[in-house]
Amino acid sequence: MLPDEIKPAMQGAIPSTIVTCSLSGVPNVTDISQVWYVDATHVALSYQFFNKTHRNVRENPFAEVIIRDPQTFQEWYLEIQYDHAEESGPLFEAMDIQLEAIASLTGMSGVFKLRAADVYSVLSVRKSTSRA
Amino acid sequence: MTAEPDNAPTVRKQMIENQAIIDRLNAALARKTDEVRIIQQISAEISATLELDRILVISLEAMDLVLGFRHSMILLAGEDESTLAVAACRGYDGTKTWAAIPVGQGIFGVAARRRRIVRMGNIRAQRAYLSGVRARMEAGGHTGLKPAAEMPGLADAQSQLGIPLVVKDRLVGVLGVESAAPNAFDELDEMLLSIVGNQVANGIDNARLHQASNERSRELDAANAALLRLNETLEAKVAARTVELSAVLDQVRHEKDLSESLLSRMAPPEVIPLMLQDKLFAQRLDVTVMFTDLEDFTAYASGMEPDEIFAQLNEFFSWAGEIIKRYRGYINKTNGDGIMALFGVPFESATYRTDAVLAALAMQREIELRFPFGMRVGISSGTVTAGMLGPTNKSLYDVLGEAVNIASRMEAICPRGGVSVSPGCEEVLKPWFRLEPLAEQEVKGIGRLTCLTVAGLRAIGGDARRVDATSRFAADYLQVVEEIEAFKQDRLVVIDLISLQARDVALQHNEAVASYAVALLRMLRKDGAAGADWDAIDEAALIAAALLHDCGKHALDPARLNDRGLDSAGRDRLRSDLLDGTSRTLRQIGQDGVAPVIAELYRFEATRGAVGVYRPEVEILAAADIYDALTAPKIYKGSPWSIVGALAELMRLPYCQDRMRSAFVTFAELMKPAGALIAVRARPEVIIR
Repeated sequence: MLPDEIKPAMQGAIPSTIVTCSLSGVPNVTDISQVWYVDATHVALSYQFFNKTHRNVRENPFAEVIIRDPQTFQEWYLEIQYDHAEESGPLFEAMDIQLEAIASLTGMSGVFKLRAADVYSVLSVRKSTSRA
Repeated sequence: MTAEPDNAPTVRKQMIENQAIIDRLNAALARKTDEVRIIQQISAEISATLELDRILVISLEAMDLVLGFRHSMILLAGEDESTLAVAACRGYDGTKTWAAIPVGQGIFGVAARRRRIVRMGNIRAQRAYLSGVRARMEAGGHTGLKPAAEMPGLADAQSQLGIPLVVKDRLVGVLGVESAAPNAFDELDEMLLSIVGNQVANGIDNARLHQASNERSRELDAANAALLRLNETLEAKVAARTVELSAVLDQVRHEKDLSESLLSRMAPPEVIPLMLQDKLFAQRLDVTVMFTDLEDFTAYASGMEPDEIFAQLNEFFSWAGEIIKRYRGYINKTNGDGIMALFGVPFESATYRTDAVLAALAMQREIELRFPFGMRVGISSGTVTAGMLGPTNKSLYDVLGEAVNIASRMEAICPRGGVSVSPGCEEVLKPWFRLEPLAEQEVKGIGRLTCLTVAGLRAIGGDARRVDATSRFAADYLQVVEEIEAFKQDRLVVIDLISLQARDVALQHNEAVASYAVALLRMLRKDGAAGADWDAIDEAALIAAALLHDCGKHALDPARLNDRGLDSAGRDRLRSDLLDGTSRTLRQIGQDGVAPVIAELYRFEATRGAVGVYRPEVEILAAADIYDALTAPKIYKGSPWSIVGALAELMRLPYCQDRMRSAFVTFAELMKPAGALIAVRARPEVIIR
C-alpha cells in the first residue's frame, strides 16, 4: 500500500532510479524521469524507447525503484512487478500529455512518443532511514 | 487499578489525536466553504461584466488575492486556434511582454491543444532530463531539432497548471498559473481552477459575442449611414439627371416641332419624312390646281393700318386653309391675297377633282358670311410634275404643268363669288354639279376656251338618274328634299355632310336617303299599307338616322372607302369600322339616340335582313339607302343603275322575297316611272355594294 505521503516523491521533481535484472541474472541500474502514482497498489513507468530496462522487465518482471521527495529528500524503496502495458486510456493520456508538454519546451515536439504506460504492481514499500 | 495509569495517557493521546483530526477536518471544511464562497464571488463578478479586459483583470485579481495564485495569466487563442497570446497576467514584471506561442507548445500550449488540464510540478527536472536526452541524440548525429522554446511567464517555473478555456467546442484560450516551487499545485487546485476556468471561458465568450454583436451593430449602422448617403446622393443625381434629360428632351421636342412647322410651310406634311430622309424625288402626278384671289381687297384695305391688313389677311388664309384641308387639299403658296392650292398631292387621290370643286363651293358659301370681300376661284386638273422647287435652302414643294397656268387663267376670268373650271373638267364634274358655260374667252397662252362655272350641286329631284320625273316621288314628295335641307340647317349644322360625302363622292347621298325615307313613310301612312304601325314611327328620328347613318366616314382613310377591289371579308371589315366610327361620332355630337336604328340598318344590310328583329323604320332606311347607292352617280363604278333596274334589284334581295316586306314594295311604287312594271323574281345570289 502506497501511503499518501509518498505522492510528492512521485511528481518527478527528482529523477528516480530503477534496478532490473535480465533473465540470465545481469542487473541494470538506470535513472528514469518519473514513477507515476496510479493507485495505492500500482505505479506506472513510461515506455518511450526500447532499452535495457524495458527488455529486462519483459524477461523478468521484478524490479526495484528508488524515488525521492524533492522537499524532504526522503528516499522510498519500492519492490514492483511488471503487470501490463496500456496504450490508451486516461493513464496513458495523462502521461502522454506531460511528455508532450516537456518535449515541446525542449524543442523536441514530435520526437518523443509515449509508446505505452507500463503498469507495475507494488510488492513492498520501504522508507529509507538515511536521507538521499 | 494499575491499568488506569497505563491507560490514561493512551486515552488522552487518543483524544488529542482525535481533536487534531477534528481540527484538520474543520480547517478543511472552512477552506472548502471559503473556496465555494470565493468561486461564487468570482463567478458573480465575471458574469456582471461583458467587457473582455475587465473580465480578465477580475479573474486574475481573484486568483491572486483570494485563491493565492501569485503568478497567473490568461492566454487567448487566435482566430484559427493555432496561437496563444497573453491577454492578461498578474504577478510578473509589468514591463515584460511576451510573443504569442503556438498552440501545443509548453504546458499551457499542450493544455490548449489537448483541451485537457495539464499539471506539472517537476518542470525543471523533466526539462533537464529531456535536455540530456536531446544532448545524447545530437551527439548521436540527430539533427533537425528545433531550438528550445521561449515561453511566457517565469523563467524558472517548476510548477505549472494549465486549464483549457473551451466554450461549445471552441478553444477560447488557457488559464495558467505557475510557481517557482516544485509540486506547487495539487489535485484540489486543479479542481478549483477548472471551475474558475469554466467561468472565465464563458465570461470571455459572452464578452466576445457581445463585442462582435456591438461591432456588427456598429458595422450595420455604418453601412446604413453609407447606404442612406448613397441613396441621397443617388436621388439627387437622378433628380438632376432627370431635370437635365427632360430639359434636353423638351429642347429636342421644341426643335422637332419648330422644324416640322418650318418644313410644313415648304411642303405637305405627308412628304416631310421623305424630305428629312432626302428621298423626295420629283414625280408626275394627276392633280387639281386651285387659284383664289380676293376681289376689291386692295380698295377694302386702303384705309387700314398695315397690321390690320396683315391680321385680316392671315385670318382669311387660316380660314381658307382649314376648308381646303378638310377636302384634303394643301395650300402650296400664297401670293398677296391670293392662294395656290393643290389637290391630289403628294400622293394619288381618287377624289382630287371633286374635292377641289367642293372646297371652292364651301369657301364661296362661307366667305359671304365671314369676310367683307368677295373671291374668285379658278380650277383646272391635269398631269403635273411635283417636287421641291427653288434655290437651295429656299425650295418649296411645287408643281409644274399646264394645269397650273390654266387654273390661274380660270381664276382671272371667274366672276366674283364664282368657281370657274377648265373645259376639260366638264365630263368628270357634270354628274354631280350644275355647270354653266361662260362666254368663250381668249385665254392667254392657250387660246380660246369655253370655260365653265360651277353653279352648285345638282338637286336630287332634278337628277333624272335618281328620280324619275313621272314617279310618285317627283309628283307628290319633291318638297321633302327642301324639308331635309331645312332640317340639316336647323338641327345638324355641326356636321359638314358634304365634306363626308366628298371622301367617296357619295354626294347628297345622305340627303337623298332621308328624302326617300320620309317620302316612303308618308306614302305608307297614306296608303294604309299593311305590315306595321307606320304612324308610330318618329319622322324626325328617321331623318336624323338617314342623314347620320355613315357619319363615321371622316375617321376612315378615303383610299379604303374608294377601294372597289375589296373582297367580302374586306367589305365586312369596312362596314364594321364604319359602324364603329359612326357610333363614336354620334356620341360626340349628342345624337346617340339614333344609334340603335343605325346599328340595325348595318346589321340588316350585312345579312340582307336574315338576322334580327323586324323594325319597320330599318326597312324604310334600308330601301332608301340601297336604292340611292345603286342609282347615284359613281366616280369609279361606271354607269349607275337605271331606276327600273335598281328597283328590280331591290325586289330580288332575299329579304324582300322571303317575306315580301311592304316597305320595299311601296318603295318601288314610290320611285318607279309611271307605268313601269317592277318584276319580283327569285335569284339565288345577289351582290350589293
